[in-house]
Amino acid sequence: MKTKIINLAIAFLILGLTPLVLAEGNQLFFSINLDYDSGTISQQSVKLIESMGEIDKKSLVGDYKLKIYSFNEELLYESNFDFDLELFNSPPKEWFDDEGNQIYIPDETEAEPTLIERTTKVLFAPYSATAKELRIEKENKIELIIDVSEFALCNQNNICDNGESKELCSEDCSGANVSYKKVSFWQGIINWIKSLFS
Amino acid sequence: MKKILVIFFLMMLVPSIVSATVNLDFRLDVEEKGFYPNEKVPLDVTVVNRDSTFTAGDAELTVYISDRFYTFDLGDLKPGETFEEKITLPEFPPATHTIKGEINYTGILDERFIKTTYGSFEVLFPPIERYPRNVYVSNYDLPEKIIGGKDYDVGITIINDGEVSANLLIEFGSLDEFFTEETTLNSGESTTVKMNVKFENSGVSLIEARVYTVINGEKYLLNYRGKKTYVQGERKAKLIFDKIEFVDEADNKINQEDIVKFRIFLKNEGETATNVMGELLSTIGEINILDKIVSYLTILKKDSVAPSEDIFEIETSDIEAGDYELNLKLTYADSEDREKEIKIPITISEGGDSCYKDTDCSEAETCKNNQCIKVECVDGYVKDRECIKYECVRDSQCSEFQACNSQIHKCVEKTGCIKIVDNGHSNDKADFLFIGAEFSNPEELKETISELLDLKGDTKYPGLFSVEPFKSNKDKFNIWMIKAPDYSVSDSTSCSNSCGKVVDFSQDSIYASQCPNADFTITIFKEANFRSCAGGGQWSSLSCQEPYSRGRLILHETGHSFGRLADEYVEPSKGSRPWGPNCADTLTDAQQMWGDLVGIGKVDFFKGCSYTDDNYRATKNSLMRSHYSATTYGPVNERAIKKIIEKYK
Repeated sequence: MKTKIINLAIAFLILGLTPLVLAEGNQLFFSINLDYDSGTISQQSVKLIESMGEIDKKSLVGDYKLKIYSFNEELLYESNFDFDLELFNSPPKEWFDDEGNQIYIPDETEAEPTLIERTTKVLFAPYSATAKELRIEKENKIELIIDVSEFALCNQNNICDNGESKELCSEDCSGANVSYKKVSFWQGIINWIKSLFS
Repeated sequence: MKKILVIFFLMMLVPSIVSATVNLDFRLDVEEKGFYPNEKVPLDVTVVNRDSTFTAGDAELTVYISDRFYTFDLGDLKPGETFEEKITLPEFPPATHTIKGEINYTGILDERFIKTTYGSFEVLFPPIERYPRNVYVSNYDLPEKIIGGKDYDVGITIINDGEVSANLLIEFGSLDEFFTEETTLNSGESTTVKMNVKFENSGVSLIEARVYTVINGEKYLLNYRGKKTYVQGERKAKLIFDKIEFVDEADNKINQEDIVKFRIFLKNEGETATNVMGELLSTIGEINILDKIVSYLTILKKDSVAPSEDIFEIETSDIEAGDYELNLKLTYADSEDREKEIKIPITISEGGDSCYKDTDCSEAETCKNNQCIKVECVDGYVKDRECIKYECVRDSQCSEFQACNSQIHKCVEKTGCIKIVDNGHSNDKADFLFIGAEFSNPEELKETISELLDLKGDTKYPGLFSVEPFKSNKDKFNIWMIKAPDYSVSDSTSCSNSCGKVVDFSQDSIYASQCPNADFTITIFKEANFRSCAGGGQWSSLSCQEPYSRGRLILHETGHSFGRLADEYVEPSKGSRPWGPNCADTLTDAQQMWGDLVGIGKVDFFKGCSYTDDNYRATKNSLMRSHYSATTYGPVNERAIKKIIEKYK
């Protein structure tokens, strides 16, 4: 039991809380591309990518939140962000003289957009082997759920499923559900004789 | 009536017994003379039990003189018995000293009583010329609870406030167990004498720092400072290897190719050890420790224990039969926290485990010819006795744009970003990513970026890092680049076409998503013509700029995207959008925003900002107005950008 608790603790530590740090000191990230269209957010793509070095660019600023949840609904990561919808155009040279006086003022008909309705956003979040989904929230309301279970190495169901190994999912593959048991010499003989008649 | 009288009698008797003390006559006598500080003080203690009935049991005498105290065990004082003893007190410094004596004893109902008495004696300054006075111990540092047998470093501070320099002998410890050091201290000086001390006698002791002057080989006590100190006796556990007990191991052997679980029994030949943790280590390449950490909790004196469920597991592979040793690193506590490593002898036997079917063997083994044989598995992992191959183990198994991640054995995207200016770790820096739209030659892109940055200030025209406040903070930025040869615009014919109309911003994502280190993106177009802009990122048409204004264009757009600054020109179609720290919609607001800078660098209140003439800006011209003619941001904008830069290291 104690071994299992220790295994679980180690698995929790390795897979749950800490992002997967690579041997070279690089770190694996979810790279998420979002589309924004008049307030509606959709997922363009999600992939895994390595950073150079271990990085933490978590932000506390922004109306939107990116959250990562594990299979057992544990919050693994949280960061804020915003979509930038205001555009600033650079002025043409002809509008000014050499001293910065504005010598040409465009009229109302030469309208340029200042607020855009569609844009994109790239987000990065540290990879976790137990991550099940990413949630985009605004004012505590879920705007989008992105399934990242395809990237998971450990689905935390206490069964050592296909694709899970003791190496990366000791939480599920700690041996608790392994049937192997050494038998005594004589028990082996009895088992063998039994197998002849079964 | 008789009953009432008996009860009344008992009611009178019991309280009188309960409250009765033993009638003791207790005296402390010191010879009536003046002592000198090099003399010990003899004290006569006399205790007479004048009670005819009751014994003063377990009598204990404590003598207090200032903060010194001395305890003596008198034993039982029977009725009529007299206790007389000459006690020798140590030296005292010159002064009149009051002695307080307390006898603590047990009365007839096991209650404790204290009998107190007083005495006094006088210690004189010796008739010695230039005898040091006003030398005293001001402080020493020793915990109130220490462990016997353990070394402690003590600093004892001595001050000589007298007029005579003194040769000093410093003693530190109890009267029985002390350490000495000599020093000389001139008038008006102080010194801290360092001593390494170790006490063996356990129990509550009076630990003192005593300072003597030594004159003609005779030592005279000048001063002392002491406090009760608890010396905890050193308890030493002695953990040794006892035996190994195999778990579920049919042949009770470790074979040449084997996975074996076992318990290691530890025997304690010393005092109780607590918090015992064992970590099994192997220096032998062919022996791999699978489960290495075990908690033994507490191991009592003389016990031999191993945890019942917490079990070590090792795996042998291609090892010669013979005797070997593993190391068990132990951490535990007895009277202090300790660490030790003990050798665990093991014997490797020839062959593998005996078995009759696969399930007799470990998960990673199959049963062949009654031997457990390890499942061969290269580039994969064994599960249910089958080798399951990893998705990848080398980059060539992934697509052109992917690499094989060696930790999760999956193909992940390759970063296409190249760091061209490295000022440190990304966590501390502002990481700018230049996306080179329409660039296919990385060298050309790098050269172009270098010009736009004017990193060393050696290009002909101003660039990002040759203009304040970026210039003096360039070490707070890392610069990355990625080429984007296929990034195109929908109409590249005119420099008047707004970027918002012709650039598909989603193309940025394709490239930015390859650079987790980046904080800000700057997309530069080599050939496409359009009116440059900024928002969450910035999109700049280099071909619509003269060479001299390209770097300034980046400065202008970075003022928006990084500095959160507004445009300082007029363009009525956009409507009034006073925004940021550099545009105010009223004079009052402007005064509040940059009034403190008026007069510095021509800062004032100018009309025309954020698209209308109604709003105010701070300088006549700036990079946020006409980057064609201005070469600086101006003090107000510089201050705002600097505030953002300060977040980085």
